[in-house]
Amino acid sequence: MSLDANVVQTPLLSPLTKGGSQRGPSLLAKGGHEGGRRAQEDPWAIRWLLIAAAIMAMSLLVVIPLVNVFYEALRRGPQVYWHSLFGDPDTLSAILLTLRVAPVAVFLNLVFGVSAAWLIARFRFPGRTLLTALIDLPFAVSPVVAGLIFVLIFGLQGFLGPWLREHDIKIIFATPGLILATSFVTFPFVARELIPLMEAIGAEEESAAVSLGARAWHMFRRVTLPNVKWGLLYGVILCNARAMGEFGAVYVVSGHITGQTDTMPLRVEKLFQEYNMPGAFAVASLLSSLALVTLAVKTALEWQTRRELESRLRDSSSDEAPTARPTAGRLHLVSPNDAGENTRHIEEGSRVGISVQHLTKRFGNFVALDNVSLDVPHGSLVALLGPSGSGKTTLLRIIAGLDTPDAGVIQYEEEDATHRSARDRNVGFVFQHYALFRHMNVFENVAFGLRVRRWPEAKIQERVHELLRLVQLNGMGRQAPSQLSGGQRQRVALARALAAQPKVLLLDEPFGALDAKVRQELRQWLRKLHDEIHVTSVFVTHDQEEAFEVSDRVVVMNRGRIEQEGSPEHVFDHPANAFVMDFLGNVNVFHGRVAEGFAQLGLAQPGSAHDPSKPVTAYVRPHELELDRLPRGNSSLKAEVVRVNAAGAAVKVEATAKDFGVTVNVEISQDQHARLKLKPGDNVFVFPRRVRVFVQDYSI
Amino acid sequence: MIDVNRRVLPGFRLSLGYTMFYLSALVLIPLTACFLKAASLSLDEIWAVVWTPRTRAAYALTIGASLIAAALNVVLGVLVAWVLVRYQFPLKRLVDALVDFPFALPTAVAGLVYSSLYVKSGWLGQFLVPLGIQGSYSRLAIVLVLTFIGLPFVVRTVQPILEDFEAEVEEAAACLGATRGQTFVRVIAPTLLPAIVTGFALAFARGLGEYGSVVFVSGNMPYKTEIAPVLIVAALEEFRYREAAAIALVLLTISLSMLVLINLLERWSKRHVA
Repeated sequence: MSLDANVVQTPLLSPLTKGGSQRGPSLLAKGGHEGGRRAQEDPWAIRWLLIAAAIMAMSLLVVIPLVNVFYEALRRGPQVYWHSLFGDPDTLSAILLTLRVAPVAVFLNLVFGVSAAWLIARFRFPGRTLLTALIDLPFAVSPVVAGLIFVLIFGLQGFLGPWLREHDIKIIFATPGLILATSFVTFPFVARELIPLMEAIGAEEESAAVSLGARAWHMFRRVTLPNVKWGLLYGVILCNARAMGEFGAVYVVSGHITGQTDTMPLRVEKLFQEYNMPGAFAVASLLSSLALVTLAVKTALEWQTRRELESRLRDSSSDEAPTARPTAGRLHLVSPNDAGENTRHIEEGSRVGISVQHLTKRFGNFVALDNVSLDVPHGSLVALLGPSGSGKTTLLRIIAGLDTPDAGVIQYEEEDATHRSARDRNVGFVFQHYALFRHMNVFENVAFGLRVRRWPEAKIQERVHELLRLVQLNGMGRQAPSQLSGGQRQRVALARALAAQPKVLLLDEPFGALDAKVRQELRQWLRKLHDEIHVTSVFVTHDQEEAFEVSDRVVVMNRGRIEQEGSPEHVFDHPANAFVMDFLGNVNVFHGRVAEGFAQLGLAQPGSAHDPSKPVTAYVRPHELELDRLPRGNSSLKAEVVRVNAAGAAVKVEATAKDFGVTVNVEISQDQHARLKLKPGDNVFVFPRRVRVFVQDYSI
Repeated sequence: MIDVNRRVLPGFRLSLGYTMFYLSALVLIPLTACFLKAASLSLDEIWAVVWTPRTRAAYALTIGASLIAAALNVVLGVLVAWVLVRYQFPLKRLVDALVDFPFALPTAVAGLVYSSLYVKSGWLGQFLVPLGIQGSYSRLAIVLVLTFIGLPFVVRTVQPILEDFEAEVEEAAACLGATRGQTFVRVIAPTLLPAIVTGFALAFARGLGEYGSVVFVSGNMPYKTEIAPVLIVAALEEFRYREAAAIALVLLTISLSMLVLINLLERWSKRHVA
């Protein structure tokens, strides 16, 4: 979850809005402060003095006026009160008018608010910041001016006045004018409430819905709306309170025609001018009740939102419970593709599952992908490996259709899919943070892709249970995602992605958010699962061990390019260049120069015939070095042992070669360690078994 | 946040189109109409309308009363926010919820009840009027009701900052030998300052535009208790539309500069908080 700093949270919000969901995260921190840190404690005398002063101020400003309204309204008895409200036809018509005008204005602003929030929270486009600021504009305008601008357009002397009179349309001094003015004044409420909320929730769940095949309306109704429903309700409540209570703007456009264009607040003023205090206070008491109800609903919604945000924060920080140990499920699954067909292609290994050609993607000046081409064999499991910023996730998202390339072609099973939307590509995408639909239980999450494809209910039941068995979660269908451990959520995400029998399974750092032990177990499980279902799969990782352990093929990426591609053994044993060598694990680096076809290094070893002037770098893995007490020929390096670490399968020895000023890390076997009995300060000789030399085109 | 792609999520064109349409129809075009109307007067004419002794008195009163009320709000707002965040006391949640009451209450009701509380026979006026304090139909009345209207702003800007305040900072100050008073003045207050200034500006801006409550309590006497929005209404009721537009232009200019100022303040305070 991240709040985008781009959102201009313009402060001309209502204070209620400020107090709302935006404040949620900070309210969470509250508990920590109230625990009575000693340095924050004030002497009790000061404490009670300040509390008393605050309560006094609140009483004078808020409580006494509030009580006074109801006292004045009711002091002449309930009958007078009743009569003032409902016995006076003009008051009654004012109440009815307010009940007619406010809902229309609220509805208009609700539709606008949802539209604007979707636009601003979900898309980046030029002028977005300006638009966000413009939404707040009505807050800055005096209500009287708001009324005036509509009189200037629609009034008798206004720009459209003569035309309206010709066509006998009355806007000013009539209900449409009241609706316009009220809508203007309450314009920003819903939008301002939704924008920060939708930013905080993020677009992952909606992207997941689209990748699972949901159409726009389905995605909005099943995913967006349930996520923002409290915020939406909150915005509507605020909007309604202001709409019913608006005075200045409505005063100007209404013309004060008693019984016709007087809303409740205007009726209060008229009764006040007529010195009809019981009547004025009776209407005022209704409006005050409205305010109290608004406050109550607001407080309840705030708690609700806070609870949800809390559980959301818990969700994103919690980890695998130690009890959950997945093992690969026995296959009860009908393979996404026909099983016979799969076997054939695994044997042939020739058909291409996914093919990308000459992909380029820029974000501003940053080149995320630079002319990348890659073939993923049908039915294989391929790892995209690289440091962060190497473009691997971008490549995965483009394959899924969650991003569009600036140039290049994507083919699925030899069909061009470049311009197909994510929905139509039929991919299973497992998001890094799972993007489970929080408001749906495990079963419904898995069933989502089937429901949007209108599978019959019986088949959905069958398929979901089959998948839950496969991911070892049978019997957990009714649990909410928040009740699951990280590893279980991961498996739900996987089941959901597999449900609609995708042609391709894509996983973005599938184990990134889990702790080390669970990671280890899950990746073995994923490997076994893949051996059973053979769906063409690509996963992104920055962990080389993970890539080598799980995948059939490894693709090493760096700075938007593919550095090397091949089987794990091939890539590890024959790194194509210095970057790959360095990225794939611990390595000793020796700098030197090429002379007469030999690299002159700390270790004398034949180099490749490069230009003599070029500096070279030699790479030797710690287990490719040997140690001995005595020199062997001229290819040994004299060094002094600095540290010996014998805890582990191999013994790690650190030694310094003073003549060359380099430190080398060597791994020797426990047997050899028993024979040599090395300790710090000993002199040893280092021999390379294998050295890789690269001319320096890459610097660490 | 994921870089969301227009082609992936649906509805970009629809939401852009509808948002722009509604914003233009309801806000931008009407506001432009106001400028056009005012522009049908020459500069001299505009000046003659917006700069008379009566309008000058109204501007001065509007700005002055809003400033005083906003300043009062700073004192009361910091006090209430401090007490709500730092102390436990009975009915704390109720007090917290009531802070927003002035916002939820229709301004006409606020005006009505404030005008009746401070008259000679009112609950508070019976004690104050004999002391010579006129809390109704006076400038004081305007300040009082604007203080009520603006109360939530400072509380709700200061409160979250105070809640996020790291206890370690105060502990560090205490370890370094500062008293509570010194800690407040030297450590806490400077941290709260950006939020206080923002809250002040918000309350001030709200006061400038307020109409509903003030017309009830002020008595609307020209030169004495007449605020600027009343001038517009008065001009309108006499069908002097262009004059109303010209005065509205002055108010719009002031409130738009406040909007810009508050945005700048918010940016400044964000930098300081970060």
